[in-house]
Amino acid sequence: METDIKARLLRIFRGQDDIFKVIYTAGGATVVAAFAAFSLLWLLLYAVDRNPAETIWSILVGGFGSALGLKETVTRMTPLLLCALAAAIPAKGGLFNIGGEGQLHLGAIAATSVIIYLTWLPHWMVIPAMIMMAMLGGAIWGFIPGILRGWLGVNEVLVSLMLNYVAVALVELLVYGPWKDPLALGWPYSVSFPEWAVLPTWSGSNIHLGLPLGIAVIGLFYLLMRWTTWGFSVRVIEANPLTATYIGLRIKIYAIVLLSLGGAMAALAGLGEVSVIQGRLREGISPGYGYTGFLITWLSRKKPIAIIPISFLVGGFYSGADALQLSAGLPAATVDIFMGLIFLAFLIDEYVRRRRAVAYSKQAIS
Amino acid sequence: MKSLVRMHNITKLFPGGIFANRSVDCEARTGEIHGILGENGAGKTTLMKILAGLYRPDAGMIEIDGQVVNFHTPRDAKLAGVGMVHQHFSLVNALTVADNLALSAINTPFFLKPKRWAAHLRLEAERLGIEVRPDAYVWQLSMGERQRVEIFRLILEGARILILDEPTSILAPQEAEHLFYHLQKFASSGHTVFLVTHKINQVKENTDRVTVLRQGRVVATSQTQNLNEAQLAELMVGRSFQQFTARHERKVPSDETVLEVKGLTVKPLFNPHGLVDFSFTLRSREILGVAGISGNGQDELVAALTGITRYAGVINRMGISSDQEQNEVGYIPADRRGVGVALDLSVGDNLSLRDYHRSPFTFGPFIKQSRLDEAAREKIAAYEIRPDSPGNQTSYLSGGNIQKLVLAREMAHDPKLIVAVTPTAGLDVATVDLVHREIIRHAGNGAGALIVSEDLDELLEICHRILVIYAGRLVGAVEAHPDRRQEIGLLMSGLDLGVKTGTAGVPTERN
Repeated sequence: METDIKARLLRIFRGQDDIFKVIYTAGGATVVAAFAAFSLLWLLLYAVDRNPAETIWSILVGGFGSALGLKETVTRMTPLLLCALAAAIPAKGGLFNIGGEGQLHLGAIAATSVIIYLTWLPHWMVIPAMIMMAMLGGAIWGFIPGILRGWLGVNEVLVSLMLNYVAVALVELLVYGPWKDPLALGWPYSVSFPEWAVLPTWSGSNIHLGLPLGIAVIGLFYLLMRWTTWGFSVRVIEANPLTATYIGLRIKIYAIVLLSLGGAMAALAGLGEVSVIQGRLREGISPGYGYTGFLITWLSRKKPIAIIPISFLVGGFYSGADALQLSAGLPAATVDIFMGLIFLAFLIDEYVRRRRAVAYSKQAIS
Repeated sequence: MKSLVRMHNITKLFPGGIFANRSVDCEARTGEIHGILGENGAGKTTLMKILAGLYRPDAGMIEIDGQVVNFHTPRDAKLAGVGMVHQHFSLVNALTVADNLALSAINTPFFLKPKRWAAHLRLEAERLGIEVRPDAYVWQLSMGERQRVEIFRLILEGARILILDEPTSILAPQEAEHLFYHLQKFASSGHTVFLVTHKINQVKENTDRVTVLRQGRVVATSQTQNLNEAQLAELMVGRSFQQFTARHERKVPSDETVLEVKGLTVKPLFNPHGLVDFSFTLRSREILGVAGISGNGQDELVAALTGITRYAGVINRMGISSDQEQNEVGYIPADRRGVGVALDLSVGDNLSLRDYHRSPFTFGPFIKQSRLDEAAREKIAAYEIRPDSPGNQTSYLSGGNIQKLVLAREMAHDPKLIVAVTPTAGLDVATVDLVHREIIRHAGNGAGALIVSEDLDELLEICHRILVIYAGRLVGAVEAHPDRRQEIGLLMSGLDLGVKTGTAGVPTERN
């Protein structure tokens, strides 16, 4: 009986021939990786003389244990989800967009430009205008790595990464310079967003339109990929660019389109931060949402739908980090350490998986 | 003649449940060239790698010279006198022959005087009757010369048992003759040679005894003279099988031109020559072969024809406009796994690659998946692709089935121009036959086919005419008749038209 079940399990997992491999293949590796991260954090907290269990519990309670915590979690989730999308869309075509951070800032800049320069717009047009301008700004910031890659063969990772710094510097330039609010008493802020320029939020919280928009885009993107010829082409490009070329697909154009779309998504996050959360353009509107978003995409293993729960979780950690400062007297950065450990564990897991897959296939072919 | 090597009950199982070898018994005597014949995937290479110490058998034992041996590493096998020449040479291109041989020799002193070493090598080479040039750099040598160096190396290290795995796939016909001459000499001096191949004629011409493998098992062992070619084919494949009958289906080429190429010149991409001033005409119903040793400009020719690279000169595809081009050209690439298919996609998706963006498979921007699936199933049935579910991931398919996939997809639109590059490399006999028949059939329906191949037998088999390429140039256009074999072989090596060659057969002067 036992051997029967084992045999069936083994057949399911494609002929792996021992039980460890079965667990491994089933995704148990992911669980093991998370467990490893947890244990490391445990040890770390021990080392700084804190009760690990209590600390970790504080983080979880802070993020998920109360209505206030949950609201904060969902608020944080929004920019994370959008930035994750920024990386996920190009990823479907085999591209790496690490420029989410910069694209976010460009979206913020573009949105702010609407209230500063387009003051003649009727109030009901302002929000749609901001959305369009933000997406345009983000798209441009995604377009640049795209075209450089197509034209000059420059790696989009490098370009998008460096543009992040440029974008942040641009914000600095604007808030210290031409866009500095004269009424802000010398502080580097732009003028506040008037109430008709603030995105609709959910009953008094800071959870704004960006969230349902982002989720809608995930759904739309899924449909696009699955049901349209365009989506099929993107899948072919990702699977094998050589094959794609030989059936006539123009990879360069697809690359530009995907990167621009991704940029537009991160830009929406920027719009949200500047319109709802901060109320104005200033330095430091993003604690690294772009980068964390990229990591979230990567954690979601090419399934955009997974971005939703993962960004919820990460949002919870961020929000719990605030509570941590109060309850345990630990810096909020502790959560960054925790997340870093998780990502590291996944990196190793991914690497080991790939090594084993290559080793098996090499043996089988020869 | 006594047994030098005895392999008994050898079994090798790979992860995933693949039995590469099942209870294989094999025995070879001194003075004999022993053929290991079987299709691709029958387990020949695995068996020989076990003998060479590269794999450990899961069961069975090996006896050399009456002694049971247990190889833990390839070095143990080397010390026991087993030497294997692989399909991909283990020579360092950037070093000289002498350096390479010093690198792999076992008992060299810590300080080695180069002059003395080279002299030693020359002496040994003369003694054995093998031509090697110790001072030449490996990258200067032709494939045949490199193979000679490999064999020389193994003999120097004291090999008494030589294993060669598909040695003629990279040789011109003349070089192949030289090879077998040397192997015969080697065997006659009290040694043994194992010749691993899937070519029946090679076995018949050069071996004393043969072991036929099929799906990991031995199906026959016999004196070569006791089995004729048809019997060997049947043993290899498992059913009655007629090789080389496809040629009879060929039709006569018509007068209508399908492809005209004039003065085609391509910058070197994959080899030092590139393509220089290449011109030919391909007619409807014609099957044109391009013969040449790999790396003489064929890749550049194909790259230009398929639009991957820029070129100087004229390529005229008659009656095919640029937009239609994608569907009017059937292209079967050399690298079927790397270029021909996208391994991570499903079989159905790969079959749909030329269809998914056109009616009747689309509804505006949307894909009519059901129609695509239907078409995919039809193709799978027509070409007998196994496993037969369109949802399977393509990477799980064997090489033969992947090639069938590529064929099914490319030929589905009755292309007017077919470009196939080494279309049957590594395939089993039945699939090779299928590929040939399909090409011939489509040619018969009016297409023009250009076949680039290193396998002269294949080209003589199915082509009407053969172009010979050497150093990027067209050096001959010959009618594809078996009598012209020698001539083509000479042209392939650049040894005709009064061209003097320097090292590596690179022309240094004309006449």
